[in-house]
Amino acid sequence: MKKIYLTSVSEAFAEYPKNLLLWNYWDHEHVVGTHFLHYRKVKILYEDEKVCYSEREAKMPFIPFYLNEKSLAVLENENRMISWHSAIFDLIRLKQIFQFEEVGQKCKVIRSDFLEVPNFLSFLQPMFNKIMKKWFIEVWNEDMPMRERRFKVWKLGFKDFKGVDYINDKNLNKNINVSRPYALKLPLPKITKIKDEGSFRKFKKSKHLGYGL
Amino acid sequence: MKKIKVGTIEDLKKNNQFSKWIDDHDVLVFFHNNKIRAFSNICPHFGGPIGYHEIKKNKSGDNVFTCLWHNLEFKVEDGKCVQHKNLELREYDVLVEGDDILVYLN
Repeated sequence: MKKIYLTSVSEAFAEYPKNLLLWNYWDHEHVVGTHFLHYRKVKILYEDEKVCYSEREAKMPFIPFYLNEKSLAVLENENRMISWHSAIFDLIRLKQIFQFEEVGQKCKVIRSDFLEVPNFLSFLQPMFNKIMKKWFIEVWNEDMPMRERRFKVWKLGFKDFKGVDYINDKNLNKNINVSRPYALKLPLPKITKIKDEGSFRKFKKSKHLGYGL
Repeated sequence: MKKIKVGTIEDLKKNNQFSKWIDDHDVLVFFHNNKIRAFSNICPHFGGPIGYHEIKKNKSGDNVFTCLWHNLEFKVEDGKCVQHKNLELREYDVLVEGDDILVYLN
């Protein structure tokens, strides 16, 4: 049977360094926390500094149930990431290409989506485009305060698994270096059982009190 | 140490907690067991917001704050992380003057 690709392109601009955006994409443990409205489980099957193979349970816009999918993400280089997603016994096969274009301390992200379908399903193109754009915007908007906050604490001297020295120790004076370059080392260290039984959504219900940014 | 106003009793009434950035500290003020206290709102793991969710009881029966980003739990009792004992939140000294809530910052 002849196959075609449904396609969609989404893009957005963030006033943060590229490494911070990459940190966000490769911090798989935040998915069930920050994106708890869309994801309820993530399990990493394999990960190294360029590859992550994972299982996810995700609820997409307009689709009223969770899809169990397997995802293979490859960081080809610091400007390009590709991920392949497979669901429902490999009937759904989605490829996504992420381009990162950095200008100074700002970064543009362009995501191109390709869903392989039989030719007779080509009429679904407008719906696919609508779903993927909505998906991109919703997840992007959930990530933005996370990125803003991460950059804010980074500029205050934040160190992973330690925090900020002058906050931890009330006897220290502030020594803030706002031009500190954002460093990234993959894979990120894990704190949950995401590589064993998986990382799960914590609550069904919670009153959201906000970041207080 | 300097004494700085972080909010008012009125701010606290709505949810029994609020957080506010003040002088490069992110302070989480909360009312628990008839006492007003304040922790750092910055998770020492990756910097997430401790006070995004309201205080909840965890499976062990402890009252905890749960960081939004990676679900690390911090005990309301002493600010220590449930999952990683070496992580803990700073507790700020709090002073209530009339309707104002003040914290001591370095």
